[in-house]
Amino acid sequence: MWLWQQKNRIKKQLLWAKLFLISFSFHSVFFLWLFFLYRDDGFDIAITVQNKLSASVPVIFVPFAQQKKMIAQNNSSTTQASAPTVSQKKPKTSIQKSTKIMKQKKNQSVSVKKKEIKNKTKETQLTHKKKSSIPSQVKQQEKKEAKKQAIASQNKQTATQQITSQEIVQAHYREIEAQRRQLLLQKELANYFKPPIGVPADCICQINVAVDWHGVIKELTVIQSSGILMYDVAARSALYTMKMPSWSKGKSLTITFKQ
Amino acid sequence: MKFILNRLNHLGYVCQKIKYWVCVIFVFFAPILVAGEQVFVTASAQQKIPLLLGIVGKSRELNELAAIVKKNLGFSGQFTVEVAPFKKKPSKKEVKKLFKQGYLLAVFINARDKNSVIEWRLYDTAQAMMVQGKKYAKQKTCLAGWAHNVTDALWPVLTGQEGFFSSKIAYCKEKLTKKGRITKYICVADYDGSNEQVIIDSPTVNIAPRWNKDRENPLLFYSEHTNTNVRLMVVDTKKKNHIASNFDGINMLPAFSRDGKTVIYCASRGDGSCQLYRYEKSGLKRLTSNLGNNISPSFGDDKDIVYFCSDFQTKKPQIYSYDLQKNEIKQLTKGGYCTSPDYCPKTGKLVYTKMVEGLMQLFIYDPKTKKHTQLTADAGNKQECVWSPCGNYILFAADYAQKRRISFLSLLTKERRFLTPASENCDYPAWSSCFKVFPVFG
Repeated sequence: MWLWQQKNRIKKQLLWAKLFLISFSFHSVFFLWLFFLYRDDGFDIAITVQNKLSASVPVIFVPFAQQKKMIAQNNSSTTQASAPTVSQKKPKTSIQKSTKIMKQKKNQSVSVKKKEIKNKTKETQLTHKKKSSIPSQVKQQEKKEAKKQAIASQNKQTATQQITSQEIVQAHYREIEAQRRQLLLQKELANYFKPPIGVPADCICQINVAVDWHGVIKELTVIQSSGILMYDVAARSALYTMKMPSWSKGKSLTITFKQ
Repeated sequence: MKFILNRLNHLGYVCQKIKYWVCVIFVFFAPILVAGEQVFVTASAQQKIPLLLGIVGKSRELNELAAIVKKNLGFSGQFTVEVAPFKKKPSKKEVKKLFKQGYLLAVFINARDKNSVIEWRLYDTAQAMMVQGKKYAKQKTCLAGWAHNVTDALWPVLTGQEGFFSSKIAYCKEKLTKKGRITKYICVADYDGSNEQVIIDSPTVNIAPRWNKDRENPLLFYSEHTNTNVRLMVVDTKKKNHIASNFDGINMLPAFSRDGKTVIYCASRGDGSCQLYRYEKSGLKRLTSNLGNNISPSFGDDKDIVYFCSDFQTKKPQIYSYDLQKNEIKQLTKGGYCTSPDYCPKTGKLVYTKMVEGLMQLFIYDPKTKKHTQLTADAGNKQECVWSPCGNYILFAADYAQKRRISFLSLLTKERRFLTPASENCDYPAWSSCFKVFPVFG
């Protein structure tokens, strides 16, 4: 007899209580993890904010499987494009194949000769015709194949060129997300960070910022000072005046200010 | 009862298990919470740092001093300075308010000890924290000097560079006598051309002033035309002048080593060609002996390297370096017409003038990379260029609208400014080192 079919009420209730407690505990653990721990950033992000980074580069969201295919295609096309000697050898192999085919046809015709003695003359005529037509056909085939290959290689080359010229950013969702953050930060910080005039070009100020859950700077520590007060002050003021992005809430960021 | 107790025990066990798993999950995800991100930021534009100069207490002297400090801080073009009066020393809240008003830094000046001491405090307004504070005991009676000394103390804290406000510039000024003769006076002024004073006004031609390198006892050397020669003279802050070198021919353009113990200057000694001579405690020694004219010596990083201008090889003046230990002379410029080299120990670079398309332009030579860089390319001859003590400015005489004026080029902002008026002919500028106590002539 199953537990829930038992007539003992206490046992039944205890079972339900047990089930409820287990369910509740698992749910609470899950929600605790979801709301307080899980923040979809279990990966390293190295963000470089540059002044001249173009925001016009197309970012294309590609499913992971398709992305793999595209990468594979790109690799194959590039290898073929980069190895013209292989394409030169290919016509030779096609000629060999065609000659083999013709030999087979010859053999077939010979067997036909043996079987049909009556039509010897016709067959011999035919074989003669075939023999005479073989070189011309082979040449034509060679030419056609060479043309086809040339067109194919041209198409592949243009395709690869298009891919490279467009500079398509193929990346996983998370990488794209990181790039998006990078662009957002770049826009925000570039607007606010204005270093003083006449400071050496190699000046670097590294600041650690602890952002609270409201997006307000909780703590700001200069890890590496530039040695020039006005530069450090300009860097700090940029952080104080800018609005921290939502993804930085509850995080500590290390920001390096360069000229 | 036993059954219930058993069940409760079991529940307790389950709870313990849950606790364990919660802990495991927390430990697993904790690094994600703690992990920081690194961001690199590159600047898009530059700005002048807004700075507030607060005068604490009422005093006319302090107001005048603050006005000069404001001018000093704004000279480089790196700060926008505003002056505001304060009744008493501002509290932390007030300093934080200043940040909200847009001031990133604040300097508060007040007088102490019966106005004999000036006290300044530098604040970082964002954190309402005092960065540095110092007291300055007034030296001599020149208010501008106090202001320059205060700014010199403040400048390294703000910019990380040595101050230059207590330095002086000297130059020649052309004047017509009543008889219509042209004479040249020697003038000194503050670093920005203000407070001009005529030091030498003898009715003759006085040219090529040069400062010694002593930061406590400034001396100004110049060459005076006499009936028989051009002699080297020296004048102190009390305007007392003495003869420094009185050989036949010309005696001019002394260059001092950094320790001030060695002097190299040019003299012709009646030979017709101008040669370099070194003067030390041991005596006078001739350095060059060629058929050309060797002028404008300038010491390198150490005593052993001297840069100078000579025409002994190409008949046109070129810049040379002279290694005194190896006794080697190297030609640094090739071709053209190059004059007046001046070496800056701060930047480690040499500035000189070179003729380009018929006009003298400013050039910089880096002895480390052996690269020549043209600084100017506009109309007007630029002559007799010298470095500022901080290495951020180049002072030179420039021809504009048929007048020769003293002007400077800022290497920080590429700004150019005239220091002398357009109505006067001025040349041969010289920039002193930054004095510990601002010198007052007279």
